[in-house]
Amino acid sequence: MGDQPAFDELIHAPKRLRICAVLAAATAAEFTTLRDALNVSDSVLSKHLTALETAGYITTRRELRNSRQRVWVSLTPAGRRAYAGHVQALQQIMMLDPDNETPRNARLRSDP
Amino acid sequence: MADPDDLQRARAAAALAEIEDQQRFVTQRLGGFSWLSPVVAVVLAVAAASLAYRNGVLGYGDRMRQMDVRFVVVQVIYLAAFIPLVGTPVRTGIIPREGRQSSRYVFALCVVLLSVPQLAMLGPWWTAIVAGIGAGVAVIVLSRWRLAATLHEARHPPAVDHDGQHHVTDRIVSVPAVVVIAVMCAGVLASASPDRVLRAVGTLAYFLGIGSLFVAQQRIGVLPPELRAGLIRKALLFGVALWIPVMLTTFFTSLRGNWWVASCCALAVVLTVATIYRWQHNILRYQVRQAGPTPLEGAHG
Repeated sequence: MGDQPAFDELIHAPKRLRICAVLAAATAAEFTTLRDALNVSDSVLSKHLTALETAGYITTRRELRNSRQRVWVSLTPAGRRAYAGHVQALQQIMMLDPDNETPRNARLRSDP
Repeated sequence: MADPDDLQRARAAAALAEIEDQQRFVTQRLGGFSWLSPVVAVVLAVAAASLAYRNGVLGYGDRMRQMDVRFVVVQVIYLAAFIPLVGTPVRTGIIPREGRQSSRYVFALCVVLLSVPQLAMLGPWWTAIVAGIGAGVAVIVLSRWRLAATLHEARHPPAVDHDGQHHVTDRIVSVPAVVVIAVMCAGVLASASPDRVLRAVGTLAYFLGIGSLFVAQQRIGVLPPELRAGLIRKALLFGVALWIPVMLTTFFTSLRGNWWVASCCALAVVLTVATIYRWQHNILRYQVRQAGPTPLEGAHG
């Protein structure tokens, strides 16, 4: 969307990438929903969220509802930028076929 | 030995597949409540038909003035049924990303659902049937549109432009405050008219103005969800402050054609809308500060 492609090692870790993918598709997601999406324990999810929060990529908001505390997680503008750049970098890697298919096709065509 | 480029591509492909999986998860969650729209459609259809019934004989204002309890209750049900259509009260654990499509949806919803009973009230008894069918079909069609828009937005990368500024917030200007104020003033003045048709058109324009305020609100929804608390307060303000001019001419027939009263109401509308816009702006600024340095601040140092 106009962002510079930038591979982000922090986001690229599988669990954190999945967290960002869910958050990027929404305005905010609840902690338990994220846990279900990732199929991980609370502590593992908390660890990854803390890493992203420390980097300034996400914000958390606590909300008391029916005497239960719910935590809503959302991407910050910086997080959205970093994620968009990372996705573009991944797509660029996919497109960067060294021989751009042509020589490979040529090889296939030259095969007897 | 494997080619490092191939390994890198394989990693990238796996990562993109993971992203696709998560987007599917979000869309499934959001789409899981598609049963809501048929229920709301039935409620709105019955309410719209009931609102329009007998209006060939008695007008909207007459029935309100007579304090026809059933009429008032049905009207409250009709307006309350808007809430699940405009907002997302069902807890899915995910708040959908608000975008341009969502804003268009809200605006179209306001136009259709406010105009259907208004137009039906001008006609004879059979318009009640048309109003009921119209409201029901409108809800189904609009809900399917909204779901499609939500899925589309979830499957696309976040709307961040080159400077990191949200595309959606960049386009807030779709309905400028001046236009909203002008439409609502015209509505207030027309609703004071003794002519029934002009009054109905004015009331409709007035409510469309209110709908536009909600659209402007929705456009800011890409920011953290704290703004939704402001939405409830604002809805109360809409209900109390902005409803007054229309209700005045509805209950007090002597005020119809009294352009002085209408002008005072129009002035009150100008002040209220300006206050709401200022309020929205302040909340937006507060949230942007909470979220960290803005791209604009970055761009301008």
